[in-house]
Amino acid sequence: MKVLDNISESLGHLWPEVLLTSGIILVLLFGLIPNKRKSSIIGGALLIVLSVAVLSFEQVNDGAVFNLFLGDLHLTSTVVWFKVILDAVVIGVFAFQLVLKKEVELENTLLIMSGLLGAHLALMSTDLLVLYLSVELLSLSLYGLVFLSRTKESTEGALKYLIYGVVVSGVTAYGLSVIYLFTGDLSYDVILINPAVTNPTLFLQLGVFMTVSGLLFKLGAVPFHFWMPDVYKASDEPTLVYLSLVPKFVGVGAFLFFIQYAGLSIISWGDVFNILIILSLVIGSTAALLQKSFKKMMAYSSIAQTGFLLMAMQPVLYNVDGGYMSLAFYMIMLVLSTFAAFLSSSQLNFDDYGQIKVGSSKMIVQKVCFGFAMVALVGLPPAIGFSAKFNLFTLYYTTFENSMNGLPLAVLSIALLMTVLSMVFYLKPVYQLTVKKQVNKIEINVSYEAKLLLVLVTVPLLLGFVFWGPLLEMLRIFTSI
Amino acid sequence: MLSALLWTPIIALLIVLALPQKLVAWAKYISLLANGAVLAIATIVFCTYSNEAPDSLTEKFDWIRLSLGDFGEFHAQYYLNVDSLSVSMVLLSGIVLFVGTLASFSITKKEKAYYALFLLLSTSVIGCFISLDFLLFFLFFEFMLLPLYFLIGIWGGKRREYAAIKFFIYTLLGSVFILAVMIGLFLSVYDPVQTAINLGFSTPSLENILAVQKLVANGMVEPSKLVHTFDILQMQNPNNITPGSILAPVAEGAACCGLSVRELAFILMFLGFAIKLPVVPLHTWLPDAHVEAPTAVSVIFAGILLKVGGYGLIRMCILVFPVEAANYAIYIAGLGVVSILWGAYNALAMNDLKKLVAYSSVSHMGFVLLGLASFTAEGMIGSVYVMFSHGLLSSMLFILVGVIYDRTRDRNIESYKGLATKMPYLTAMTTVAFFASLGIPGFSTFIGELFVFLGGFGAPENLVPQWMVLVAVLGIVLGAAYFLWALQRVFFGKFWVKDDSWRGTLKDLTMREYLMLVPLAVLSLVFGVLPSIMLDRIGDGLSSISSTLQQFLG
Repeated sequence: MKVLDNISESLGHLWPEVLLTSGIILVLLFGLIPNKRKSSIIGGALLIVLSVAVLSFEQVNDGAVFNLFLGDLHLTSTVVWFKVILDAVVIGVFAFQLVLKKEVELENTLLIMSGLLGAHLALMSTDLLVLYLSVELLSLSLYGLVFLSRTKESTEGALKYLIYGVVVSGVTAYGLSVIYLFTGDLSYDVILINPAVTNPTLFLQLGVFMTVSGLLFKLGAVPFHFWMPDVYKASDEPTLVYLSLVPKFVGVGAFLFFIQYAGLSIISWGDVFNILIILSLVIGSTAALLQKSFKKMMAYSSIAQTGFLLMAMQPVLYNVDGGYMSLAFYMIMLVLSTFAAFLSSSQLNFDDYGQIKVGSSKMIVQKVCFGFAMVALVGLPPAIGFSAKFNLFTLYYTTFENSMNGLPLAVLSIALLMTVLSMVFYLKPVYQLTVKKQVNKIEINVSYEAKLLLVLVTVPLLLGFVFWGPLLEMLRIFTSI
Repeated sequence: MLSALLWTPIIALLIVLALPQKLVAWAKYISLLANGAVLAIATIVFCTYSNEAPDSLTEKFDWIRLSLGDFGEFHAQYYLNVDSLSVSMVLLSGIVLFVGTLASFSITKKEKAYYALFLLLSTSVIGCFISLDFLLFFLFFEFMLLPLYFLIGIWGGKRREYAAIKFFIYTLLGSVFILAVMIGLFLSVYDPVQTAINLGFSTPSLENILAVQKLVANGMVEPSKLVHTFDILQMQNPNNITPGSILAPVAEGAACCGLSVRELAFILMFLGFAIKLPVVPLHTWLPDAHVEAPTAVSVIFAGILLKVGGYGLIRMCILVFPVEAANYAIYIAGLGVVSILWGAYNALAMNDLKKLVAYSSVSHMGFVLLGLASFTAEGMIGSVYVMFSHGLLSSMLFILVGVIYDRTRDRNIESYKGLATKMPYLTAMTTVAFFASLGIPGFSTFIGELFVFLGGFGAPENLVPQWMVLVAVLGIVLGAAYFLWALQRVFFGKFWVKDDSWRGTLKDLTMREYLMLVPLAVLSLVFGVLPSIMLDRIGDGLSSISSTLQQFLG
């Protein structure tokens, strides 16, 4: 009886996910009707995700709830704002597809929505098996999405992604089984109090690391980054936005909750994190320097951004006041600048640096927005990137203020150095677009809505710098409810 | 008042951007009007400024203020003010920007974009001189790069892409050094006034501030109550550094390469501004950028942008790190002397008139370094005066080169002979500019260089050795040599030009060119004959700055 009570009570906290699932079924059914307009499906999906976002947002008032579905899921304000950010990303992706007016298959919409469902559940899970299954749901959608991008390289890219993904998934499953072997359970709260955990053997530590490697793969942290360049190159721009934000944030969130609720004592995470940060920053940035394709550059720089995200997670793990605030700020910065970057690059029809097709004085709006997106990604004023990175560095410094030597100091100096380096590779495409003589000048017609969406995304990039204070204050309130 | 100075160009920028395609020709007049207004306001600011009431023009509002929990509070302000260091630079910006706009009238390609970028540049240059909040300063400092990059990259000469990217990378590297130190300063410096309010002191009076500083020094204040600030004036007070923080002075221990963290920070900051000034051997971007930039941008470059470097060196580098600066003063002076001689020798060897003027700038900026390394009142005043005077005269020189270039598209000294017979007024103007630049008495350069030498000879031997000053005097002789030699080769003798078709195009000065050149020449003369106009306003302030600095000497 108690079990049934728990389940019926839990359902009440699951409205966004229920709505999303019914939305997926609805879109599927609607897709069976022949001769309808493609854009109406995307529009409908957008509305559904919008209501999911509103419902998710409403959940802030629920307060922290644990032990949903007998300890499989949980819901805290942190989960809620992670979910809302992800919903916003998906809404943006749909809007992107709408203004792009490209033929999009029904499957594409369905996969985006199922991926979002997987993301929601992965963020909520407090059981490793549920986490595993939700992340798989997200991953499977991503493989399909890359394939459906229908670029020249999409088949190859999707296959590579699938193969890498399956290997990592296998490793994760093995790690799970090791944890199960030692603790006899996969639920976070049971793992936490298990005596095997307080004094872990090397084998158990290895098992835990194998388990989180699945999440590191989603995050794109070195050494789990090999899939990124080819997959990025293979995807079209709306998919790229989805691909470079959703799995990353799911990785951040799920990783944080796992460490907070179950794993903090198993491995000394501080050092592991710092090593991962240094590796991701250095390898991502140096490889990005050599790229001659915008998408590949974004892939490698995204590895470097993972390093910064991992840095932003440190204050949270050490319970430094304002940690979540700065993490959320960094995530919002990434969302806005990634959107602006890919929106403008798709309108400029720009990937290989050698073959820019726009005349130098044409499409000024797109070029300016592109420039601001890149400036934001570097972290220079007057864009939101500067404020986000500034907060990040300040809080990281505070976290390790009393032990500011060795690894943390190295991380801080390398992060600063890589910011400098990132100027070269982020500003290279801007240079190519503005100053360089261009071959094959073609007029590209861009719809009015596309331009408007781009401007709507770029303006907050600047406002995030000017109204840095109020924005952070708002985030502080939102993240600490 | 200062806000008006800062935002007038931005308002004009918005108007220019909104101009329909039919009315693009108006862009230049709107820009001229805006920068005319800037000049007017700058003149009023300069005339009303007095050392007795230094805060009469202050504008100070909170920009970002939030609590970062255990770290303390984050505080950045919209803080504008002029003082003895910046007031002359504000006037100079007004003059040079106005003249620069006039010089832009020869631009015919993509006018709307050109003037929009030019106005953006105007705001950021002025912002650099009047903001006293480091974050605000850094914002404007970075913002200068963007328009300049495009102004050189799109409207420049043949090798514009190379020059633009080279300039961009050099300056960006410099500003990253500055950024790193800025973060360090922010982590270390607190604002005692705001902290006093946070701690519940009723009024932030002087005793209370001293009490707060004592409390913090003894570690009695919770970190969360500290207000970390970007206020440059607070950064200049060594009592405002939190003990144990990254830039706190420590008696022993080296962080890296035998240098303490503070020394490292000083060197980084110095490098950041030295690239901008520029100091040999970090000057190689300057000749390229100057040669490729259109005349108006060269004017702005030499006229004010180099001065941002000099101004930053005094304000952010020497005043914030006085002890380190005193330890390294001998090297700074040495670099100054090297710049003077290296610039002058290079100028002697140049065949391109614009490169000659560019290298003469490098040489003149060496005097600025020499003056401020002396730490004396005379040296400081001399540095600022040299900057002001060089701003006027280098603008004039670049316009003169532009006059010839506009007519023939050729700047080579060897392509001309005896222009005096054909263009007597141009020759007269050039003669005035050359003589004024090489420092004959009666013009402003003389006063500046005189004060620099007075400061140099008056400085303690461990800061600026006498032999360095003596070597630097040689720079003036070399200056006379390259200017007079160029004058002789281009203007005197029998008229001859490389290409006969130029004979028709080489006409004397036009009205617009007179409008640019005559005021600059007159101003240089006025500030040379009546230096008290300037000294009355900046003398006392700079003297007190130097006496504060003297306390840190040994």
